[in-house]
Amino acid sequence: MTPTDPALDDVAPQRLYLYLDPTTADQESLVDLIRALLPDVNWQAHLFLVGDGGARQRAQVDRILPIIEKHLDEHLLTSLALHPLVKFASLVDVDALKAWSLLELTRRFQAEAYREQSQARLAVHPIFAPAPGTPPEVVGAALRSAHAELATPSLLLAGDPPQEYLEIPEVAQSRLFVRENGEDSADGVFATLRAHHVVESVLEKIADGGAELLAPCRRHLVVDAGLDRVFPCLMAWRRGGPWQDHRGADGFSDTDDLAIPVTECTACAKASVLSAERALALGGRRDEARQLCFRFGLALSRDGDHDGGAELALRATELSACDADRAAALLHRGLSLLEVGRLKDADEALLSAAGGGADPGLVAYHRGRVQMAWPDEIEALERFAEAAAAQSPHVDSRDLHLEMALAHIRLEEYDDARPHLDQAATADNRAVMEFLCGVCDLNQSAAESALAHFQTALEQPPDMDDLGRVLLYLATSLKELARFDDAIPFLERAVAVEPDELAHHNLLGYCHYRLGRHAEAVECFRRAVAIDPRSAIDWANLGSNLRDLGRVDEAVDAYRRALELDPTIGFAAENLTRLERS
Amino acid sequence: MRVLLIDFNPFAAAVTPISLGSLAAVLCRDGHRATVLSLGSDSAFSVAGLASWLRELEPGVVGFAAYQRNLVHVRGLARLVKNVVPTARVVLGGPQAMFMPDEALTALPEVDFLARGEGELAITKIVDALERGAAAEASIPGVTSRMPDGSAVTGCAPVPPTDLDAYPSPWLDGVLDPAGWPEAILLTSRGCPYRCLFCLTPTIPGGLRRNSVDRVLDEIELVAGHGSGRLWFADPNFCASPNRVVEILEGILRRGVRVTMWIELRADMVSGELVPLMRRAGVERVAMGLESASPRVLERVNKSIDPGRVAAAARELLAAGIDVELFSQYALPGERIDDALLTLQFVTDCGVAIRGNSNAQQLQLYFGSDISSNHRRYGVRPLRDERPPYLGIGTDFETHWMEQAEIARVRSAWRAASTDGGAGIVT
Repeated sequence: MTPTDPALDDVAPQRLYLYLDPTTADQESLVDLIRALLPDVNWQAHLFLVGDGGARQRAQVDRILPIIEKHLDEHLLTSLALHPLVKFASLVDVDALKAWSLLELTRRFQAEAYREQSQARLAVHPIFAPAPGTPPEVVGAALRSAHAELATPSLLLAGDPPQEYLEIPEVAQSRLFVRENGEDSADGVFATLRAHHVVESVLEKIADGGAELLAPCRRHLVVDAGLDRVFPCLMAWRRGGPWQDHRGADGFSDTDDLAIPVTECTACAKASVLSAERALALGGRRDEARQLCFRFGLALSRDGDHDGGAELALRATELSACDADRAAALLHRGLSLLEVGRLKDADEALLSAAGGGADPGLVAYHRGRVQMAWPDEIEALERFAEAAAAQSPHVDSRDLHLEMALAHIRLEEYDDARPHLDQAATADNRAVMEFLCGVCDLNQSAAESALAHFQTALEQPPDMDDLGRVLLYLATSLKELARFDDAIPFLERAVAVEPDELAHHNLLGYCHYRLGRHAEAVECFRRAVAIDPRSAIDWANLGSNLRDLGRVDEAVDAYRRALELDPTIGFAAENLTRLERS
Repeated sequence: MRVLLIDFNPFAAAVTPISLGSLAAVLCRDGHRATVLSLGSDSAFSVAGLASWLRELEPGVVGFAAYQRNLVHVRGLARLVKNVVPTARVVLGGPQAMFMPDEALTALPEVDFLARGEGELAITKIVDALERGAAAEASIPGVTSRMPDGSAVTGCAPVPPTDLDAYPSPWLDGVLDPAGWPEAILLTSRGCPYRCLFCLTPTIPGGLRRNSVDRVLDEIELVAGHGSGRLWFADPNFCASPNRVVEILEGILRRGVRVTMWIELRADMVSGELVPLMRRAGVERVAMGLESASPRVLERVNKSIDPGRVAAAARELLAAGIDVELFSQYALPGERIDDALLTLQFVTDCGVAIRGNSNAQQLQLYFGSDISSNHRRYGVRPLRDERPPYLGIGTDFETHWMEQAEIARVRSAWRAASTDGGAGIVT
């Protein structure tokens, strides 16, 4: 037994967006559509009714009211919240609303709630869209009239909302939508609703804690009365599909197979967050807006979209009201910028985070990583030393020692690197440690010892991303020991793993050359120059092997290409001269 | 027989259906097939989806846990059941049904039975009677049935068992799965030795009865091992026996069970020895009944607690790092607006945050409590003369000491002081 059977859980759309195209002639079709859909929506659902926001839209809504009333009467367990778009410019418009049959119907359900000591099963929460220039007192009166009907209205403003609107006391108790593009059409309203729908969905997940923020938003459907189609979400409606004709023998059928790809959900959510966070902040929900930007930015970074992460981290920084929040956002911005290679900006963000009270050890560590990316290993080592001195609980000392070892290795300070490698070792990173020890040995002419380290690294085994490099270095050790025949199988594995890696072909060609297998060597160097036609040394090596095969003309060409690219390759110049003389 | 038991709270998230789980465990023990469905404001389902699910399940009996506030929705579900599975019989149980007047059955055409006695006994008697084909002919013990002529007949309530271990455990028998819930609820006792006039528990037949400490510990061990490790006790009075509370806490430690708990205590139980034991056993939050800070009002409602002792206990617990909640109500008999506002001040002075269960509520008059049954005697004036027979007075009243507007003022004052906007109120 399960408490909520899977068949009952999370399948019913909780919101229905009705696009009431003012030009729609076939009202019966809309009525049929709603009649078919209502049994399939969640037991408590929201219906957004968006048309011209005026008399024509009211007439369209009036046509579907009997369907809504019948649905609620037949199913006492259901409740509906209606959100009609209401455009107005004067008190006359506002007063006209009070006589709307929709509100009359609402009062019927308020009476039922009173009688049954429960909550009203039908509520109307208008989306007020004042015409440009509407006096603030009229906007206030509209909001007050909605509150008087026990509704929570929304206020839809365009572009940069006038300050006097934002100062209306009732705005604080209302939901604020801001249309980015200022477009006064139903399409523009829908775009705004989409952004807010997605953002509220993300905020819900944030409140739940732990939920995957990039997952699809809460289930909804879009009914386009003009097209007579049902879309699985607002994004699908905007892009024109997928969609479904609603009427089958059994009424509305499932839209599960119409889902759009999750990657598009992420793109939609990102655009929505960027579009709606300002309205949240203007509507007195500044900290929610900050959390939205911060948490969603982190989710984007985790998903590999570091540009998006950095952008939202910047917004989170601007929305922060305290140093701790600002520092956290700056830290995230710095790390995101590091990932995309904007190193100067990354360092500045991290420095600002430190100024805002972020953990100095953590900041120093990441600034060190920025310097490593630069690359400026000397500067990096200074930052890492600062991080070590700070003994931050947020910096894993093994990560820190690993970075310091890498910096020293890059500086060819192998003896300085070794103690850090010892301290960076864990049970989980043995392949990396053995590899780096091998690199130190190899560069300090201890090829036998290096070989042993690389062989141990290979046995661990290394991550797939590192496998080619381990094989190459192992083969290099064998080459140093003049064991060319032994090196070849490892290099062939390396080529199989990373066929486009120039170094593998180069070393393989060299080993064949040293073993007198010039035909095989020619193949290797030809692949090398195919990968990088500007690799002068590979052209030169190709020339030498062609010469040894007696293919003089080809050898001359190869040497010439090599010297055109790099005239300083001595053996190529000498061999070319000899060939030309002969 | 296939029995479906539904708990539906449209105004709060779904919780562990512990009471219905107990009924299901009894039914399963007796060879029936029982399914429990817990629905809440966070449950997503459509009418069509639910209808399809019911059609497939095809229950013979559907039982609902009924409360004053969910009756509209329960009636809606019951109608849907009757439409989809016309042969299904609908039972209304829970505290609301236990004390509902018989005429309520006339006003609830979608309901066939009202469970009057203990739920486990009532549901098994109904199922037995239906299987024998005797439901329409004779009264069923502990149940009000609609007879073919439309009249209502109530059978004598059977005597409930004195030892609650006689009922199988929904947890130990696998009827409820702790992994399915963010926190587990345990019901380890029934009844209460006290006689608070606003509470219906003292009027429920059977008196104070308990599960053995060993069984309680077995359940705790199971839900801790297979669930989130968070649990709370839904007992009407978990601390009726202080020794038992100590035994349970010591047992948790002895068995090495790691849990975090919310428990109810009487303030006069809080002592220098108990507090460290609670901490070690995993008690994170303690709720205590205050009801009112006015000794005069407390005496009037027969609540024998000293507000001074509550304050001292709250401070001691908070100092030990245990969060404290205080249950309180307003619009109690004899309570004036100054008394009610004093309670708010008192809770604040105790250092208790006004959130969750510490958000006070207006006295709720449901069927069964002494004040509800004799409201005029207690100075309660219902605001309307007529209401559906299945509904009690609820909060739709004023008192001789507080008019409607004053009650609203107290409500506003609590709401203004609340740090969570009044969320998390249990009832």
